[in-house]
Amino acid sequence: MTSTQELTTQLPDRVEYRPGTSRIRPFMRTSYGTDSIMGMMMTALIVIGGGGIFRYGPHALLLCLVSTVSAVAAEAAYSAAAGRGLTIRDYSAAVSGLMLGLILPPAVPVYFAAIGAAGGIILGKCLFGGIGRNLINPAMTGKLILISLFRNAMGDFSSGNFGPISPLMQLTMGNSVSTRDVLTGNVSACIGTGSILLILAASVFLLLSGVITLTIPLSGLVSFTAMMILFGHHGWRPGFLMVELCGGSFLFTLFLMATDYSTSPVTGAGQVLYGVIFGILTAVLRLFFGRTEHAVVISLLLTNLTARFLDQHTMPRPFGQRRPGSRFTVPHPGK
Amino acid sequence: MPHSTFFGGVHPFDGKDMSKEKPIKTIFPRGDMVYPLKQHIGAPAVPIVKPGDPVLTGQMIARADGDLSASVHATVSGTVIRIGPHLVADGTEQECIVIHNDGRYHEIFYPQTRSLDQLNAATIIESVRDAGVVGMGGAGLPAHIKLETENPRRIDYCIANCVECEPYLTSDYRRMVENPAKVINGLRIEMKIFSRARGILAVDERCGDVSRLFRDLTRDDPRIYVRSLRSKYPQGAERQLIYALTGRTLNATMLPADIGCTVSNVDTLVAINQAVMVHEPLLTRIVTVSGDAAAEPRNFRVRIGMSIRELLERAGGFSQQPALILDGGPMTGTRIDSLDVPVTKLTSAIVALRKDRCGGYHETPCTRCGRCVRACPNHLVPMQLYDDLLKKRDDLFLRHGGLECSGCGCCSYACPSRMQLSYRIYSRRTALIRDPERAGLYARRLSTQ
Ligand code: SF4
Ligand code: SF4
Repeated sequence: MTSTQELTTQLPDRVEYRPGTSRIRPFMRTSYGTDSIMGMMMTALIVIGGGGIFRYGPHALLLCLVSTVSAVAAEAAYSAAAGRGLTIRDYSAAVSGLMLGLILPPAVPVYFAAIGAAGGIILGKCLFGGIGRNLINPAMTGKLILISLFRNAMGDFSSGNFGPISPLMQLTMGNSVSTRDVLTGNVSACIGTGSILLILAASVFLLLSGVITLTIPLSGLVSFTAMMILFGHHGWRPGFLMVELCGGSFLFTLFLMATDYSTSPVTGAGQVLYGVIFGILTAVLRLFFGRTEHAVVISLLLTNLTARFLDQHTMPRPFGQRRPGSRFTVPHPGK
Repeated sequence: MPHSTFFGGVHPFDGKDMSKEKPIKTIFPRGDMVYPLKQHIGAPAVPIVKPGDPVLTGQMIARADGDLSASVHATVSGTVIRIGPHLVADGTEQECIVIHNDGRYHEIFYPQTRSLDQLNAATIIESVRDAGVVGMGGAGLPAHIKLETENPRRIDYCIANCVECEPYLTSDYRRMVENPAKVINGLRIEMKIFSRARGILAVDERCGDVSRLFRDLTRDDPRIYVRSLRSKYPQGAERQLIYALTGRTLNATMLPADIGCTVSNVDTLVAINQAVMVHEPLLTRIVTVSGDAAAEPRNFRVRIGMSIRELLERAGGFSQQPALILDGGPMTGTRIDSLDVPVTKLTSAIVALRKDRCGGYHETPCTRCGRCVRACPNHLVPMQLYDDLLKKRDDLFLRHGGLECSGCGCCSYACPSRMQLSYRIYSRRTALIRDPERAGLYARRLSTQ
């Protein structure tokens, strides 16, 4: 390769650019693209998954792999059939697939993962027109499909030494739960949703690298906690709040799934409302409808459906646009 | 309430260190000079010389046509060769006066210098108009237009825009370090007209040395304040600058004068100072030659009309094949397709970029990540506007405030899907504004464009 380092005071007679050089400003762009954002998301999910696999054994690994692969394969097949080209290069299908793996109970049969991932991607993403167009989260759609098909198996968290009952279920049945086990993830839960510390670490990583923002998680946390304090019949009791927050996939869903770009609002005010709706809906489903583990599935999908509406109704006022009666108004244009 | 910054904006790599510390170097051109008749917003100037005429440095060669126009002066001595179309930096051909440079730089006779006390508004405006000074921050509005508001006593902030938010550009910075007194004096001249105004020198927070210098020099002037602003693009844009300094907001239908402000760029202030104090027309400007592919990034005092080819040759050329040569910085500049174009009153920089700084991006679908929304300094929702464009729904585009777009480029910069948001939105905006029925109040600014 010849990259002449010496000074060329001799300038070319004509300026020649490579074909395809842009003539559209701005000529400078940020360094991150969609693929690097999804790559970072993937890293975070792999870290969380690692904790789950460590605890629940090789079957969990198999589930994660199968769901990732089948999500990618399903999207590739659909895109090929619909003539949309290679759409899997941005890793978003892999992220959805792995995400579904992480919200599966650790001992379900392998074909659950395959069905859920493929179904979720097709119904929850491809049919809407691909990335950025889908109204509902593909991974959650996959889980909803599985829940409606195999209701009992999806509520059974037994695996190895862990019993079938998750801490949140125990709490609703009136049993006491060890806070320490809940925090370290030494409990029956879905593959990725038990290890609270790992989820928090991954979320901090994603926040710092700018992949997700704090708006939705924060408003969700506040509204959920407030609902629990007001209507949970346990008041401020930390043990109760802790299990409600950490159990039932709430944190995982809030930090990693509710912040999904396609299905959440883009405006600041919209995101706050979205988080609040998700928090309140989850709390209501848990407290008044007796849902435990599956409350987040329903509430996330319902909240997803509000995103476009929230966007339309929370458009920011353009900079400098006057409210009626403000001090500096636009004088009428002179002749 | 002042805020010292605004909401939104982006932090592009700024590359200013390359040319920041190198003193300004004056270049006397050797080749022929080309003067476009329109180097500003408004009507082109009318030539008052004809081919064969001898001209002197500083002699007016084209007179402003009406009020919204600016005169053009010869910046070398020599003879007029021809008047006709010539290629300019944006790739179009425009009417230009071409002058053969005899290399002797004979000057016209300048009247006696003035002093600040003997100035009045009429003298100032007249000398600024005669000198052909235009807003050199990029807008190119003839400078006397700003000074000629109907009611100068309504202006209470007279702002010197010393924030150079565009990446790679250091011409204003060098100007402030080397000629701080000229900048301040330019501001004082403006404040002569706006007798009730406070003067504000708005400096980027990274230029602490300039702030200190300005503070020392204005210590005993109770009307001038030095304010330091957050480093962010586009901090130097009119609306964002005024908001950061005064808390007053301006939308795209308004002029700064509507909210009692006037904004002038560093180079403009220096030009006003020269025009008013020593009768010198606008002859030179500072041009940054920089970028990763420039052999020797540096600032030059260049005579307007010099060809960019000669400027680059004298600047040492390129250290490697540039992937892109820009007139202006990477955020607001335009691509240069030929080097045989003249430096105009608005040429602030020539930036030569390497491939890795401006690599071939291709658009992918929007993921609704919301980054463009957080980046837009005018609080728009670029992805929604883009969507309206795709659907060809002008009514929605208007409802979502598309006409407020200033084309700053923050949304395109921030988009991970590399969508050409700002270009498309701003082009549509410009097209819509030309339609007087749609434009409504927005047409008001168009009349000054
Ligand atoms: S170019 Fe327009 S839409 Fe984009 S960030 Fe700037 S003002 Fe907003
Ligand atoms: S930054 Fe780009 S990808 Fe993100 S919402 Fe805006 S247009 Fe879509």
